[in-house]
Amino acid sequence: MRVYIARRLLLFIPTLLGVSTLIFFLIRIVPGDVAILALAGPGGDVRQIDPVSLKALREQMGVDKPLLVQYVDWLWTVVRLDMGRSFTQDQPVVSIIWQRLPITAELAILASLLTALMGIPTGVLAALYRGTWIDYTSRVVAIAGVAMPTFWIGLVIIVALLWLFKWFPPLGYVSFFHDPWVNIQQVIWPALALGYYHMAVVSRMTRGTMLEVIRQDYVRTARAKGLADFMVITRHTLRNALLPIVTIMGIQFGVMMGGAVIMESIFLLPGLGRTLFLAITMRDYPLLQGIVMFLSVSYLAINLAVDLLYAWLDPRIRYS
Amino acid sequence: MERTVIVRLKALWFTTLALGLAVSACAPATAPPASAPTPSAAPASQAAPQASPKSPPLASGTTQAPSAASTPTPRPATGTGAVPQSGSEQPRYGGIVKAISAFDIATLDVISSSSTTVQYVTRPVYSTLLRVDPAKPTEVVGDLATNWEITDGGKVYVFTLRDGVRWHDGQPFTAADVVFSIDRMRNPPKGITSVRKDLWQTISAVEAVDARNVKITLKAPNASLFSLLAAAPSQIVPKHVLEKDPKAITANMVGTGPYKFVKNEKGIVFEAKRNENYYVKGRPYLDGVQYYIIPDAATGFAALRAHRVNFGGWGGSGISVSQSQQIQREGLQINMVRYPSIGGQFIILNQRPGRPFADERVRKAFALATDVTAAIQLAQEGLGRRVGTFVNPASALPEAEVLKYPQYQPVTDKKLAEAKALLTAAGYPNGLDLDGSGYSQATYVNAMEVFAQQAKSVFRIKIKGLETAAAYDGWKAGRFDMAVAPGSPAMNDPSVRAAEFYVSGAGSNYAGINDKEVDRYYAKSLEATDPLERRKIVQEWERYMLDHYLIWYLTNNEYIMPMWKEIRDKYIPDLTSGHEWQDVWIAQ
Repeated sequence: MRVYIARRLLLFIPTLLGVSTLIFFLIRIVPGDVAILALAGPGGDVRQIDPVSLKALREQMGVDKPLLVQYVDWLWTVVRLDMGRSFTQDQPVVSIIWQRLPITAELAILASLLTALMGIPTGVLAALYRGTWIDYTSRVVAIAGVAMPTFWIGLVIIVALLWLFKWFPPLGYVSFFHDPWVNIQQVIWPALALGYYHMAVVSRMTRGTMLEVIRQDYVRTARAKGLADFMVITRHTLRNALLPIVTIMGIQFGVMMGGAVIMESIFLLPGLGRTLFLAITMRDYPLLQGIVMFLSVSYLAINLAVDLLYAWLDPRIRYS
Repeated sequence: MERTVIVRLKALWFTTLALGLAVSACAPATAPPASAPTPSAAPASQAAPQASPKSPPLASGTTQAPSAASTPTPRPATGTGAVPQSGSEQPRYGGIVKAISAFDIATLDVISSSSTTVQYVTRPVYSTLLRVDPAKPTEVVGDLATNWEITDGGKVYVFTLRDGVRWHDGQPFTAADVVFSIDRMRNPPKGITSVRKDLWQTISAVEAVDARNVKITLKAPNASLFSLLAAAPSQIVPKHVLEKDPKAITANMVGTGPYKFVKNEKGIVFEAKRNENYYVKGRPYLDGVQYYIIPDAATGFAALRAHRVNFGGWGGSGISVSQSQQIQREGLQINMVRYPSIGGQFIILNQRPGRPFADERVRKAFALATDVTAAIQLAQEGLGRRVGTFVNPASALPEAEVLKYPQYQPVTDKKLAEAKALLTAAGYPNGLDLDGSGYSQATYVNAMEVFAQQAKSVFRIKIKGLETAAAYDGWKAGRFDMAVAPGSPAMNDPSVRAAEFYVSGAGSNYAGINDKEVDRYYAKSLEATDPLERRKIVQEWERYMLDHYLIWYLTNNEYIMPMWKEIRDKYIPDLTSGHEWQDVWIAQ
């Protein structure tokens, strides 16, 4: 197992190198003068300023150097876990990520919990009552979740809250430990929207794995022993069916971390996703590259953790 | 085996929960913004609002001193809705205005950002030497300066500063701060970029005569100087703070304005609170101002309707016509003030050598084949004013004269026939294919769609909606034939507008206008310090530009600013100087 872990960790390096090269050169292909955009700021007019000032600014940003030199310089900052300084926010990229990460992580964790709470019971019921209206309803609900764009679900939630209760979540993000009640009011709704979208996959997979496990001999034996249905389902069937679900949910967590841009914008959460979107539009190279690298590392780490977790949960699985 | 799996699943559940709590604990300890306090009595140190003393009579050879902040005269809003101005209402102290900002505030140092958002949020904290008279937006009055003299044929100005002003940290404000601030905008220190540096190059020297008098010497007489000194970005900043750290005010603010900086949480909220020692006695009325960053328009509108915010915000933070209609349908107690901005959207015809629009006949044909009025109606829900090439009401042509030009009139068969004849004479008997390039925002692209439909019998416009950076790159490089592009200058002054967009080689002259007569008018406009003479020059200039179809506005942008009924404001917000927050109050 240690060899396996070491090998997987070593594989991080070429993967991250590939990601870093891709993102570095890809963003520089996109047109747009970085210096002028940095001066314009979010929503600002892209006003021309005098060439001398622009030249000085470009030198300050380091974008006047040859691309390869910029790439090597930036890689060196990554190796030192520095990642440079944001062009638009004039702060170290690392500190921006450190400020924003907990907000996105909280959203992703809550959304994952809701995904599990909504998806697993739905899938179990669909499996147990296969072919009935319960199964069909669960399927419709699940497919609707996948079919509807998350931003639309988010906007519908906002409109519904306003229309039904004349209410809007409190403004100004507050952390859970500062005021848990206000924090929950702010985060529960985007988590619901994100969770609903991802619950479809979990629901369908739960249904599939439950149906597989239900047919196993040991389940038939459990029933033959006279165990109550509830015990058969919860102790023997569901727990074994959950193993692949754990894998899926781990991967979904990684996706949620990187894909919460829309929810964060709609529900006013100043997380990593929104910061990433702003970095792209403003061509804030260090910030964009830093966040993408961070999300890549996170995703690789989550995948590795999920694989190891799978092996730990099911001792039959061994990685050589 | 099974038991092992069960135990491990339980362990996993508890670990996840613990990790989640641990991660949340690492989140920034963000204190919630102060909630609106209960109505408070007027602070003991502040008397009721009253007139400030007028300036003393001046010796001959000097200009009339501007009035100090006199008792403001309420002026009704125009357009849809009006801000309640009951004659019997007295301003009351207390309350917080919660406004929307559609954009994040990347920096608090206004000289290094061209974003109007930065101007708006920082305006209540800083003061300027002069300011636009909120009662008469075409005139300028004193702010930190109370008086001035002009000598040497309009090249030397001596400003007398207000006495007893203190910075928010208690340090005294002096002429040295003014000198420092202007020098900083003219010649910023290393590491700081001044985006409007070019505008300040008209000044050859600035010096402190004594602690209360500043002398500004110009290279040549410049009629735009007052506009420059009164503009929202021309903030006076503290020398004693910035000498220690040139970047101190990018994240913190020490000003002399009616409100003191509290915090700027990126992506969340900007907050300022009342300055108890403000130099205008009896002001401000509010306990504070908060700007919540709400980039999504639908979310901002929902927050407004739910009364989470009581002020919609300016420009991009305003609401659309259909949203204003929805507010009326729902019977919400929201007043909506319609107001113009200092800029708008240009119709840019690429006149660089070799391009079709380098020929005036082709430009005229385009004007004949399109109708700006219909485009505003269809693409902007009728929101926007029709203007020619200048916007400042003190100098621009009257609307009635502008509307006589063909591009503001309905497209008729006769106009199209004339357009066709012009194109044929110019060498395009079969019409012309045009590369149309605009922002991918709806109002820009929609306007181009309208033009494409109107002119399709003579011009075949291929429309490209581009992202901001790509659009500007294309315009700068001249990779287009026609475009609808933003046209908001640094300030609402005709010379400044021309310096950015019209004169040869101007930084934002995307149309490639290279006309000696335009440049001549520009030079004359700078020299004309007499307002009446200047008006005459600018109007001739505008006629020239319209007669030759060089460039014209699709629309002078108008915005609808919503505010809940409890907010009272003596003036329509004037975007040449930013909102006068010192005069805003909240009724019971």
